[in-house]
Amino acid sequence: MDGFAVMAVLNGLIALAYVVMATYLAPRLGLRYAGRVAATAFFSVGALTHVELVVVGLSDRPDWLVSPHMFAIQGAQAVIAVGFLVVALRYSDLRRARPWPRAVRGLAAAQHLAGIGAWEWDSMRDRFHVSQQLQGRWADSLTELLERVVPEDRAALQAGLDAAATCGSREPGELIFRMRGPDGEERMLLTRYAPRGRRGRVVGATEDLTERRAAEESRQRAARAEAMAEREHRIAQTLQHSLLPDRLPDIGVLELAARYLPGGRGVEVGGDWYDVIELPTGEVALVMGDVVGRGISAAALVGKLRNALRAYALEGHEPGDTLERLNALLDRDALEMATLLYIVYEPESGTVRWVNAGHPAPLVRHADGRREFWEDGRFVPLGVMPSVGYEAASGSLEPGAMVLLYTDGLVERAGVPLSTTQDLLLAAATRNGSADALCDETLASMLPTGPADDDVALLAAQVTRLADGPLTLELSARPGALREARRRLERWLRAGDIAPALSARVVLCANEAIANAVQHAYGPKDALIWLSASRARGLVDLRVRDEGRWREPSPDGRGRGLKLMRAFADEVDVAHGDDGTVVTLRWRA
Amino acid sequence: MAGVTDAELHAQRLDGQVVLSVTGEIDLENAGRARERIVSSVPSGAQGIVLDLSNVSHLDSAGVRLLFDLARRLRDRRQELAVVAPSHSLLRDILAVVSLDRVATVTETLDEALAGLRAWDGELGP
Repeated sequence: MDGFAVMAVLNGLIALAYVVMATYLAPRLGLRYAGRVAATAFFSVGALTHVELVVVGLSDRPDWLVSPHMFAIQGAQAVIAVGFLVVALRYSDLRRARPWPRAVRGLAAAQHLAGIGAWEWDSMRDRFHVSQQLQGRWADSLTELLERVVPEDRAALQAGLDAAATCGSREPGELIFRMRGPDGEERMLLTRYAPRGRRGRVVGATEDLTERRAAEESRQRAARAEAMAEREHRIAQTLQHSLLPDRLPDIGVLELAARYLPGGRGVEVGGDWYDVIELPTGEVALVMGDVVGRGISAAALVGKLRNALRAYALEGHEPGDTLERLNALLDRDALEMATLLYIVYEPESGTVRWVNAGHPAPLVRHADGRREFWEDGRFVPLGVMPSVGYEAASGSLEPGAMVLLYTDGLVERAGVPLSTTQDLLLAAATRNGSADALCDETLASMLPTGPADDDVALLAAQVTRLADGPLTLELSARPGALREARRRLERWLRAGDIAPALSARVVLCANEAIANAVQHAYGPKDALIWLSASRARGLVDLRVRDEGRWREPSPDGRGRGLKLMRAFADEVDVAHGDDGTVVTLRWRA
Repeated sequence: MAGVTDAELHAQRLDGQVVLSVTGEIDLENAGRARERIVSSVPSGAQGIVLDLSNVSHLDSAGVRLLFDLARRLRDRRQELAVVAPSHSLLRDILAVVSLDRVATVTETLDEALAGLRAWDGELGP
């Protein structure tokens, strides 16, 4: 048999052996068939003629590769020998020698982005192999690493890695420790690790938490500071609200409305305040003040001024004298300072006396629509000098006239002259509505987005009109308008000497008609409702008109309003049209 | 503040019964809030409550709705509602027009309401 024939047979046998090895033997022997590299060499004279290289991996030793070789040596006439050789290679050694494949480079980039570095620790030799990310930042050995770790964290790190290297547990571990970086600065590192293989190797990933931890701590500090400020803000706000009247007194001669808008969130409570005092003489005092400063101390000063002012006013001191006494009360050493507008209205004659200690001038809207600022009677604020000589100026308010007191938050704008904002205020006060409506309209046009940073307080007072004429009210279609409408209707009925029992029924029915329009006539947009009441020939007539669409009362009980009107009015008529609904009610007085 | 209708609620135990007294006004603006406050003031273990409206100066259809809602909620919890409304008052007339007595006991005085609840306890009590 010549050499070529032998090789052909051998090749056939070897190919068969591969098939058997790959499909049958390899799985049973725990081998992973990895590939075949075959080389057949021919030499002219007796030599090695054939080498087969098969690379298989061992499934329980993933870093080892086994390569059986098969060869034949042929002599001049016949095959001299057929041999078999196994070469085992350490795969990890091979891999280290190779450049990182693309996937590994991708992993390195991801680690870089995440700020994570990977390492492998060979505990037998105490050597670290590290990824690019950790180069220069990590140590070559655990001994070296531990030297740079802060003493309190050393034991835990050593114990953790030793456990992973020796016990063979596959559970990953996690440690946070502090270590001096190459620049000597202390870094906080999070390390996750797990044993690898059985030969005391541990792999791990390390992440630098220093910046993140610092950011988190500063965020927590900021949150704590904000919570403290918020709490103080609430205390000051509560204190300040307790110093504003719960509700304005119901005095027949003046119709009153007030608003207080605290400054924006995160802004300390300011020192704006107002008050209405009914004096023993039958006069009414209107007060609007602004204390310099913010927060709890400002609120405390408001309390001091408010109580003292009430006491002096009720004792019967003249307006100028009252402010003189308040001025003496302020502690100039503690820089207590405040502006104050003090107005006293005498209802019999309509005479008004006022003193203005450095406060924005009140706006007056007369019954004929004329508008003006009362600029007289102006002096320095309280707390500026020991003795001022405050003296009242005087004017008068006719029935229907309105005076608006406010604080500087309403008119002061950075970079805008006061005369400009005062013109805006004059323009805002054009419509001939109620005190309540004046407050709403003023705020809507002066501060459409709410107060910027300063508090705003408003107090409007309108001299009640003579009661013999008909009553007309323009109401915004909101539930909040009901109470105001009842008050004004009650006052009109009382002035007209309507018996209380009848008055109560009229008010109830008017309330139902308005509530019906508020609930059913309009969508969510701002709309108006008109009420008119008149007396003639022993009858009380009431009309409530809206411009919305009438919806039939639903059966869930909303029809009760109509039911009540039918029960408590002598005549009820509901007329619906395209342009709205008119409810007409009539009583025999 | 203008625009907010005020009703104060005062809760006490009298004669072993829960008495809630309302002072002020109930209208469309505050009825929802008032109802929640009343409901949350009723202990779930109580046999029932007396709602004293003697000092209510205004109550409209929104208030009536509140009373019916309250009676229904209490009935679901097997609790009795007694409403005190003085005689010869508009309030009394309003409650008559809407027939509140279909769902609640309406009495003229607090004593009467308490006596009524006691009798009811006797009927259903242990």
